[in-house]
Amino acid sequence: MSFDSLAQPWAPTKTDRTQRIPKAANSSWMYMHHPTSWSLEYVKDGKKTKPVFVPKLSRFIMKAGVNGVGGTNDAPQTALARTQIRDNGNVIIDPSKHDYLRVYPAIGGTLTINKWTNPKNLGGKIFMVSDDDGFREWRKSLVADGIIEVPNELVIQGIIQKQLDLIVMHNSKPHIPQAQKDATDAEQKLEDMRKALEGIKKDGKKYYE
Amino acid sequence: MANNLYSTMGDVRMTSVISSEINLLLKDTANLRNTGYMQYIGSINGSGTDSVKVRKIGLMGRDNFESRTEVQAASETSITDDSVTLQVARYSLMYNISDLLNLTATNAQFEPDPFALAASIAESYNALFADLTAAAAAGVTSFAGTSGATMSVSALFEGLYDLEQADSFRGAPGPFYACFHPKSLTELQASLRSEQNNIISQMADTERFVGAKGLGYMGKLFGIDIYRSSYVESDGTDYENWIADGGAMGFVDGVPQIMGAAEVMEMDKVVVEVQREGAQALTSVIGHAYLSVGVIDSNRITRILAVD
Repeated sequence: MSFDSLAQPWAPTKTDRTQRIPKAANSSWMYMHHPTSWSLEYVKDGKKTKPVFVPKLSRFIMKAGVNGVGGTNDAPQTALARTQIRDNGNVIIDPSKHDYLRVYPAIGGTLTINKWTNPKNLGGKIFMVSDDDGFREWRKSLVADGIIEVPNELVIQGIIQKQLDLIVMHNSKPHIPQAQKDATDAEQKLEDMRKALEGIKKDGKKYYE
Repeated sequence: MANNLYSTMGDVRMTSVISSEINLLLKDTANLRNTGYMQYIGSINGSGTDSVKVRKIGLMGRDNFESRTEVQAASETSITDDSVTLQVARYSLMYNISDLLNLTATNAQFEPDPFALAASIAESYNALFADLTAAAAAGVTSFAGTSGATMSVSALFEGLYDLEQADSFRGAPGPFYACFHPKSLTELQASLRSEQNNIISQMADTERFVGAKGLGYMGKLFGIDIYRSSYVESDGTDYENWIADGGAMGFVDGVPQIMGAAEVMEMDKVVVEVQREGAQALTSVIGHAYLSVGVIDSNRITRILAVD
């Protein structure tokens, strides 16, 4: 069973509905990004894929009494919280400008999830099916469209250093076949990280187009 | 001649009797309020505001000395400061019970009479506290683990390393704690069972940690106090578990000073009042709490993602 017909576009005010998804409600939220949060992903580039550092997003949860949010859960006052979030260097991605949220009637309120997550009911259990490719492409487009700045080289160097540490850890267990496989995979990922970094250094924002 | 059967004597037999005891359904009221890991910033009562600014300052060794020649003048050092503001919100919980429901009550422990409801509301405050704490942690920018992947020993270590390197490698001082959604916690237990590294797989802590667990505190693993909470947030794809240092999060509250209620019961931070609607033969039991939970130092906390 699909819940597509229940999904509503994100809106600043909530509406009452009689049908609901059998999952607990959550608070309204929107994505934000910090300039140090990136992950290596593989995106389609013609018939091939290419490694790209895409932004790792976190959530600004608009729940009354949490992290400077006031008011009520239905009408949160977020001015103070937004200021604090921006002061910490985050970029808030406004859902009224970038259509990325879906709001479902749920148990005890509404369930807000991103539009690439699709709830499915299989035998009474709710499974969240994610369109990972679509979400990845959208995160890439945030950089291509200039909403989020291209990652700083120093930040990427830090991520590469972590990957090197991981390889050292796997290589410390040469007698374990699974560890050797993990080391080989990690080395391939390291190579792709370096390739993505070169792409950023050479083409900048164009690497994301 | 007809037999006298149970099935035909509906006027002298009942369908069922009610049990003399009422059993509780499952609940999760475990939270971090009294663990020592949450900083109590204060109460707004009598303060003239609903918000509290948590002040931070870079003293007691944050700045290093500078070298100087014999007569070179010392240069002034600016003190680093910062703040986070928490704004208290009102939360309420109300039950209405009719006189008929109340007068037909037995003497069982959890009959929904006004006094049992007041005690229940006080317990619900613990659930609210856990809920707001999880929401505050979910707003943290940094995270370890991989979106869409199950919780693992590696992800826990990744989170721990983030804290140990926090704030340009100054590192959070600890002690550390982590809070996991029950699903993520079982995944961590499963990951421990298949751990290849002898240092970990042969630890006494590992043996204890893979055992059956109840609610709240789960035990210590790698020097981290591990808690479990069903209120850990999910973005639809991942549960937003977290690992933190003792000074990462704090809370502000206010205790209602109720005027004019017929009966008031003070239950810790919650105040419960009883309101009577005589015309409808209804009694309302209403609890109010004023609370705010927030991250007060984002260098001391990081999320650990694990698949929903």
